[in-house]
Amino acid sequence: MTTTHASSAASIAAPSQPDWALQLTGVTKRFSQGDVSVTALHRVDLTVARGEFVAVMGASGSGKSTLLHVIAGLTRADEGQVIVDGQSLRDLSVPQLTRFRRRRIGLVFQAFNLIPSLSAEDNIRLPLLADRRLRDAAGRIDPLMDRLGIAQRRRHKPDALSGGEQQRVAIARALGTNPSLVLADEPTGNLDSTTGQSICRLLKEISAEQQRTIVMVTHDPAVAAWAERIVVLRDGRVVGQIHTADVADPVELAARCQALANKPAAEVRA
Amino acid sequence: MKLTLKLMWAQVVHQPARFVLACGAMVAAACMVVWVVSGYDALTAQFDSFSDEYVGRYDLFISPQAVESPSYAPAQTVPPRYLPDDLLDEVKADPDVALAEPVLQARLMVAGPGGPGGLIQRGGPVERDGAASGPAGGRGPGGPGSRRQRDDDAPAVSPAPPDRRPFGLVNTPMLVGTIATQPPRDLVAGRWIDPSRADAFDAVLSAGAAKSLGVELGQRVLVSDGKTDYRLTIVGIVEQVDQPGGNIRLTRVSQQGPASAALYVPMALAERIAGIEGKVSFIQIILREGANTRAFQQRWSDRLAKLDLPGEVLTEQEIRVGLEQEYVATETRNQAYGATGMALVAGVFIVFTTLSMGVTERSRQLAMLRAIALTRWQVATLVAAESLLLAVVSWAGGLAAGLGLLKVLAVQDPAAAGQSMAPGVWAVVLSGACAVGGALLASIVPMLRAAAVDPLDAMAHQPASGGAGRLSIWATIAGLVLIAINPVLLFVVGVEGDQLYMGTLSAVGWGAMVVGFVLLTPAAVLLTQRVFGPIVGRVLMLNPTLVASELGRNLWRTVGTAIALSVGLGLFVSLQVWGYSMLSPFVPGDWAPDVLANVHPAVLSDDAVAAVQRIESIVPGKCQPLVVEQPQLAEDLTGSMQRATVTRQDNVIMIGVDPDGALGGDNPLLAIDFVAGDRATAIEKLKTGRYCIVPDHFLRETGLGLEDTFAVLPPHDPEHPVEYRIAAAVSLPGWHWLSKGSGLRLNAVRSAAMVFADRRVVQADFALGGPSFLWFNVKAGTDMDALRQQIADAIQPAGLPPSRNAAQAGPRGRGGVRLSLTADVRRGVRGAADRTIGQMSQLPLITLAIASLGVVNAILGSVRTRRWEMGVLTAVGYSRSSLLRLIVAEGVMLGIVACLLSLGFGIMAGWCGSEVSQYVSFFGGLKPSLIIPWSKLSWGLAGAIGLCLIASLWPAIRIGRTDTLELLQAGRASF
Repeated sequence: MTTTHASSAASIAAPSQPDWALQLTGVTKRFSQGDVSVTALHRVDLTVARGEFVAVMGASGSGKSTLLHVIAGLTRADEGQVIVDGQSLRDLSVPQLTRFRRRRIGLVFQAFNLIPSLSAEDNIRLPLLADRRLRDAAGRIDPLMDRLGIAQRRRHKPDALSGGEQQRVAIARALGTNPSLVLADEPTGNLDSTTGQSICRLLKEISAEQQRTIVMVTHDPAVAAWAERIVVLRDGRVVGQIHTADVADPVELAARCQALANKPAAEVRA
Repeated sequence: MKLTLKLMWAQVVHQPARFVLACGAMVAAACMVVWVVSGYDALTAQFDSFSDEYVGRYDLFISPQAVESPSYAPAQTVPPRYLPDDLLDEVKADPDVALAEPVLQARLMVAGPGGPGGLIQRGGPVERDGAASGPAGGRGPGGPGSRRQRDDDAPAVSPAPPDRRPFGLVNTPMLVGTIATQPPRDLVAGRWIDPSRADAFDAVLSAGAAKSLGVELGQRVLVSDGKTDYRLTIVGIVEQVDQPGGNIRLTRVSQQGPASAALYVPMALAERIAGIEGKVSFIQIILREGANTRAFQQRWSDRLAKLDLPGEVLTEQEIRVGLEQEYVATETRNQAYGATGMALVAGVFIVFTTLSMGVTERSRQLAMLRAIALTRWQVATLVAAESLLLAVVSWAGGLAAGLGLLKVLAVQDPAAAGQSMAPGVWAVVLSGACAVGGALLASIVPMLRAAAVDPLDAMAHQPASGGAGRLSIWATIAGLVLIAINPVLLFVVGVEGDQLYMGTLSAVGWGAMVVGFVLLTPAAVLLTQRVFGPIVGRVLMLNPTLVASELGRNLWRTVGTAIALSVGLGLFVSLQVWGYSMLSPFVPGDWAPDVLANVHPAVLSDDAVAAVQRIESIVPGKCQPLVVEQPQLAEDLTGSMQRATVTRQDNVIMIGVDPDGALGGDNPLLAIDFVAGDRATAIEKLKTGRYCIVPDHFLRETGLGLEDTFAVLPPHDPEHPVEYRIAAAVSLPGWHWLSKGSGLRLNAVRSAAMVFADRRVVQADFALGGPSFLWFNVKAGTDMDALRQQIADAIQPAGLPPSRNAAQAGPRGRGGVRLSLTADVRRGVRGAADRTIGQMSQLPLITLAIASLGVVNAILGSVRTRRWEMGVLTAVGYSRSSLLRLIVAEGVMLGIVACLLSLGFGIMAGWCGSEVSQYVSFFGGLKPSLIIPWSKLSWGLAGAIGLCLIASLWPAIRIGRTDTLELLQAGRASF
């Protein structure tokens, strides 16, 4: 893995109003498994416009989670470039990456990952406290909780919340810093279908209302259908994209995804 | 920082049990430190007041420099040292001096009005007739009226009886000659002596000495130089200032300055009694008003340092410093450091385990925090903050608990109340070092682990099991190598040398050994799993395979907890092994006959001996008379002047025996093992002349061999040494204690060896009238009181006082038969050792109990991470009772790991420790063999396993009460 860091502890580059919220160019990621090197991502190119809601779909082992990890800066690409909100992640050191992620990227996890010892409100404020910007964002938290329907549960600990409520708290935490990009990893994976659908609706509404760029990883066509665009991965490669406006229902979406996933390998490589 | 504190506090509130348990353990550790160190604080607090009272009405003293002695050994009885003759006039001429008075001090025999029974030495086995003996120095006024009448009528000066031994014990008053017209301290009763009237034979006693001698105002005391007895009338009693830690030993401070226990007489009388004229032990000085004490001290220190026998100025400050360097203070300080060290190490591992468990169990939480908000440093700070909170709360709690404990102890034992009511400076400092230092030290590795958490782990869909750890074969090999270093250094290379050399090698050896055992801990865990897991499983009626896998699930947690337990348990084992190994050469072996009889003051005629030998209770043919003397060695063959030990002294006990009678035959009276030379040859050589049999350690210490000679100085004719040739060397375990209370040590408190030679030769060489000792075996069931009477009756015609009192009287000098039973000596030695080793083992066992709180924490952590697994077990059919037993099994196996570690460490440390003691301890020199007191150890080991079992009960009961569904849902929960 070759990376370069900023030579000084300069602050993270201010966005220069690019067209894209997210830009991946030729991104490749390899893992070693014993003596074998596995290519999880192979020269992936992807762009996501501001305010766009994109889903990444693929079978297990297709590289969709790895793609999310690379975009979030949780792991570095071996080749290629990842630019989030105009900032190349390659140029950032580890502490700078952490600060960048704290300020510009919101993460929503499948397992919610709320701190069990903190209340819902404190969980939401966590990134802001870490960034010492709680006072600046004071006026944003309450409306956010109201919008997500969890204001009346603000004092409760996670174990007193339902799955859906926990995920809403997690989404509020991700949005609390007003990030440029929200990444959601199987956000409905631990929820029943009804609750899952409500979460998806919420994400869509937030994306539309706040012009929030959201990239969501999922294996469920019913969840992916909420996105505007679906990127299909197979064996670490982008095999195709589907605009959900062109799809009638999740059943059709699933069929088209399947068709893309079943493309011959040579065609995919090409 | 705000976020860190918020997260830290939230975690504490969310899982209070872990914090409370870890805190509880640290509080207990800090409390232990406060308790032990307060003893040292109390001691040092006395130094100031003692120093002030010690100088009395004087400003300072000028005295010869003290003889240095190792701080770990009691100071020797040193020969008297005097200031130069012309120094007093010089001092008086100093313009800053208002008053300069010379003082002569001498240690002679001083006895109370009951007579000189004061030569019974303290310590050692209790004598069978001990009840009859009075306090050291003789009997008090309650003694037989006829005897007191005889004392009152006796002249002030008379020749001493021939058996009078001139030496005094260190706990009898010093004879102090003075020209002072005023007492050094306040008078308690009576008046001060008239220093110009030596012919009045008046004296003033210090209050403590008066009490121990049983002397009241107006009564007389006996002072003797061995040739002449002096009877002095006590006209006054003056305050006595006792040295903190006790006046028992002749210490550096009391070597130089005024004696605490003192018998004050006019200077001229002291010179006459001691046979010393014109000598000055020290000068007591009062400075003129306005004189600068520092300047005076500086001026005179330079002058005194240049003397042939250097002197020094003793002020209050020097006295205080001297006290701090004393054996008692050093020992107490070492004890304080030892307690702190133990508590610190145990605390480090308890906190380490607690924090490590926290990092492991929250690994995904920490990963999430890394993913969304916190840098590595911030995550590490979170762990540090938890550690600091633990530290501060533990320190405060420990101080409070220590204070409470001291108050409780004060109520229970008011006599000690004045000594340690509140934690002093050292207690606060050392408990802080234990709590804060231990917590911060323990947090280093958990901080690094937390900082190394991969934010990618937050994306994992299942909670990480974490902490399994693996046994590193290289770590095990390294551990074994490191452990081997200490024995190699001690037994092969040898550590004898100067302090720097010994200190360096010790640090390397012992440090390597400790690290080695730490590295071996994972192997011990796995060994326990493999070997004991199935056994424990079968005992608790559990699946052996399931039990066998318990400990290794979180190796770090298990290792940390086992080490914490092993701190106390390992020290306990090592103390027991060391103590009983060191004891072995001091317990009288089978070679010693059953009884040693000492008759006094007469010597036994041949008829008397024969009469005793005919006594029914005495085994025929197993009764031998002994002639005994304790002459000084002509040269310092053992190196006692460099370092005195139990085998390095300046004299020997010569025992004259009939070689055939004592050593010959198939079943000799003295069934000694010959280490060099053989019995038959040795007997023949003894009969030919000045040959002798020595103990094996005498050859080691002197470097002599068979047929080599050494010379001794007969007390009656020291100008003409007599030379003895070594015929053989034998093993004589226990000769020290056999000779200590039996009267064999005639002239000195300690001796280098018990040496056997032909009776006729010894009798002639040392001008002894005849035997005064008998060694014999008795038949089973013999009544000793009756036997004593029979012996007294048997030897009565030979010149003992014809009365029953002769049989009952024990103390020498009053006439009588004293019986020392070898069995009693053994019992006494073992009993004293049991008590001493037991006392020393208290702190380690307390540390073990403290560490058991860490076991509760570990089991709680284990249960917490396995909730889902336990849910599955109950779902598939395991009963709650099985679950409880499974958790108890984990606790028991944790205890077994600690036992294995502790046994290994303890035996190795005890063995190495007994070797080190040969070089540094006063009791070294006897090459003890390794003794593992399994019966004693079993209590500690069983106790450790029991504590672990109890510690696992609460977590086991808790999980047993939890609903199965709740346990299963733990697998789907966030974290």
